[in-house]
Amino acid sequence: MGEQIQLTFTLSGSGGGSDFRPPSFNDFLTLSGPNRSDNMQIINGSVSSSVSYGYILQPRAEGKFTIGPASIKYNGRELRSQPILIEVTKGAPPSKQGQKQADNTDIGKQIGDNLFLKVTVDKPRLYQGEQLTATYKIYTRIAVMNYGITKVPSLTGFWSEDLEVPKQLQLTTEVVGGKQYRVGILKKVALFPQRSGSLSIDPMETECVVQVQTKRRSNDFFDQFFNDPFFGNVQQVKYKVQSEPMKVAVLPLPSSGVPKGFAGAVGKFSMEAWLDKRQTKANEPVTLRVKISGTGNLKLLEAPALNVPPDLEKYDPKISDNVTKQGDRISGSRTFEYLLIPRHPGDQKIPPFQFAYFDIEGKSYVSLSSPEFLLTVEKGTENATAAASGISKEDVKLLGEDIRFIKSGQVQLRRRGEIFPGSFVFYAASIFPVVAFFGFFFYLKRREKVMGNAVMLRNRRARKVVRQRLIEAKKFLDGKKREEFYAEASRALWGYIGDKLGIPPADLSTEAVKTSLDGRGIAAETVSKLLSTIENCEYARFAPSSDAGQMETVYNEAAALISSIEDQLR
Amino acid sequence: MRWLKFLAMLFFLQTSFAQEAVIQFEQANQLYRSGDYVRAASAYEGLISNGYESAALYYNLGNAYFKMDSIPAAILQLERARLLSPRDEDVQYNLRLANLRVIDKIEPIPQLFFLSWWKSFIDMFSADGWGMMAVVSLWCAAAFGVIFMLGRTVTFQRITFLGAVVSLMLCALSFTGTFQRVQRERNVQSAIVFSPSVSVKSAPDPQSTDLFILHEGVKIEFMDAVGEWRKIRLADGKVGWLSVEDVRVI
Repeated sequence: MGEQIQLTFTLSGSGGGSDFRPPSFNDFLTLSGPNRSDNMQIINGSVSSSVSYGYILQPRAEGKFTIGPASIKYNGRELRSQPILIEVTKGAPPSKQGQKQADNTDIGKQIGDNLFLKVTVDKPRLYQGEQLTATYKIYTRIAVMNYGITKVPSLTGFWSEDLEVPKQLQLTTEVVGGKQYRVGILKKVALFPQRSGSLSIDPMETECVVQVQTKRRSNDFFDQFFNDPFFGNVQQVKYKVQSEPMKVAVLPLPSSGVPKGFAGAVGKFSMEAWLDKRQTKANEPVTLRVKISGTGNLKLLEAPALNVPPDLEKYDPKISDNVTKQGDRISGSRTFEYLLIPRHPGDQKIPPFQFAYFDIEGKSYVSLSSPEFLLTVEKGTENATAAASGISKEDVKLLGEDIRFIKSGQVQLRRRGEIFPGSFVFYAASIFPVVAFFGFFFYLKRREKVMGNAVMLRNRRARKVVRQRLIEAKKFLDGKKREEFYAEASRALWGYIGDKLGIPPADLSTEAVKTSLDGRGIAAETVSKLLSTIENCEYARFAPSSDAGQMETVYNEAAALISSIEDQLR
Repeated sequence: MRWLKFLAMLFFLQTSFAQEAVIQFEQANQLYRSGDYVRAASAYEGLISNGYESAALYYNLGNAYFKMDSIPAAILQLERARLLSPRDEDVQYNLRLANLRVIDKIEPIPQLFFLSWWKSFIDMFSADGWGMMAVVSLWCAAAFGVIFMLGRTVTFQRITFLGAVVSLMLCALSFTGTFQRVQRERNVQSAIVFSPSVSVKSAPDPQSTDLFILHEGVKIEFMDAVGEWRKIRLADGKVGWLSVEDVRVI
């Protein structure tokens, strides 16, 4: 009666259960619970776990009670726990309890500084991430029958790891303030500060059952006598003691010179890395193991950043620890196991990777580098094309087909670089027509110049000359010199036509003049008139019978013809 | 007269060499037909190292490599064949088949339509063809020009002038085509990746970050060079640097 019962339901097996139904605790007060705790273990890749639900109960009344079965669903089945029978007997009478309560102040006085808890640390100042060992000790000068830790320090701001202490309290003696105490180590924790600044180590509370002497409140002589400590009328009482909180100063790690690959490791470490094989086939995995061993915050070590070529498929590392806690120092090793699968054949280089830590002794950063690994990947047994993706349906059909056959027969092989556009023949053949064209062009131009000068001059002077000759002829006409007149008129006409048409005087003939004038588009009437006039002149020159009237007509005709030709040739 | 004889002898020698090369080529083809691709390939390679080339030679060599399952070499030779005769359907088909065996699938970014038109127009004739056309049209233009100058009547001059202009335009076009083709064959700016897998870097420095990875057989284009390093571009527009040792120029 009045005592507490701790009740735990545990389900073990791989995978968790669901839908946990506790029994009803009608006859009990539920002080605490359900407190679920999970425990998971991975051994050789197989996961086993256990789940437990804990309750702290206090009976409401005396008697026999049954705690019904709890049920849980696991893999589709419903599991039930066995019912538990509990017998609650009469405890210490409440009246006595009250008395004890009343005596507490008295007991407190009696115990005084004869019983206290103290926490000690191995160093007051340390670096962030450095190990700090905190020891909770109990100091006593009185008999402690039993003790139990009621409040475990939460130790916020630290990552803590319990160190081993003997199960049985081993007592030593220590002198504090001139008094001799028996000292026992209750708890020892390795603490790794997670942040810098002033961190407090939380107090611990224990409940001790101590033997104290009680004074009887009576004036009875015997009682007085037996009140003597020798006949100690001892009583066992529960007494709570608490340690003083403690502060430690945590220094931040130096911010300068932080090497690449530093991830908070503090202590002293060494690194080993090895590949399980140097030669593999495509799609066959290799394992890269990185073992970091030493002392320090091992369990906080992060996997070194492995920068493998993209052709290697990298999986998240498997982490296994081998940690020993002997000698108050956390030491051991942590192994990272990377599984790498080369997807394509070829030489793969795994570049060196860095692991850096802060060396507490040297107070400086140390960077460790792995060697460079060379992995030779041969062609795998699988078809490489199977790995290729993004092939359309049409392409898949094509993949099965064979290439087209080689070319043979009439094949022109040529010397490399010997192509027509670069050859001498090409240049020659392309320059020649240009040169020939311009050569001909200039030749024509020049000839025209030479020839044209004489012809043009005659052409331009034709009118002047003919007018001169006609004036001369007019004189002969006025002077009635018939023969001279006709000669002059004939010469004027011939000369004019020769000059105008560019015909040399030697080539002048009626035929030549006729074709030439026709070619120039002179009216046929004019041509025939001209020719007949010339004929008349030739004829009349040598004919004796002719009058002045005819001479007059010939002269006018010649003048009219010349102006008509002049008009038509323009 | 003596130098004429010498020239004739030289010409004869040349043709007899070419004759020998054709015989070697046929022997290599015979090896290919009998399924001895390795020896056929080395025979073709021997012809190439003797200084001969032709689209058919590269094509056959590419086929031999394809049969030997060495895809990057096959692609290299087929690309060379395509350079010499871009419109050959057999070359295009086999190149497509070979490219299917390449691990990386690269989607080419589409070219502007007039650029691709221009390219296929240039592809219409070989360098020799364009060159021949250029020369012939130039002769025509010159001939028309001369006749034009000699012409007397207006209609005759009109016709010859038109002929000269048209053949001059044709001449300019075919000279452009010639130079484009020669340029493309002479300064090849493309290469094929030969290393089984190579990381393309962001800078010409082995320590720089990896941008992406290429596998053998991918065609790349050079853009820039720094020492042993080449700035490259893929058909899909990705740009990066890699060592010249990882590739072979087409």
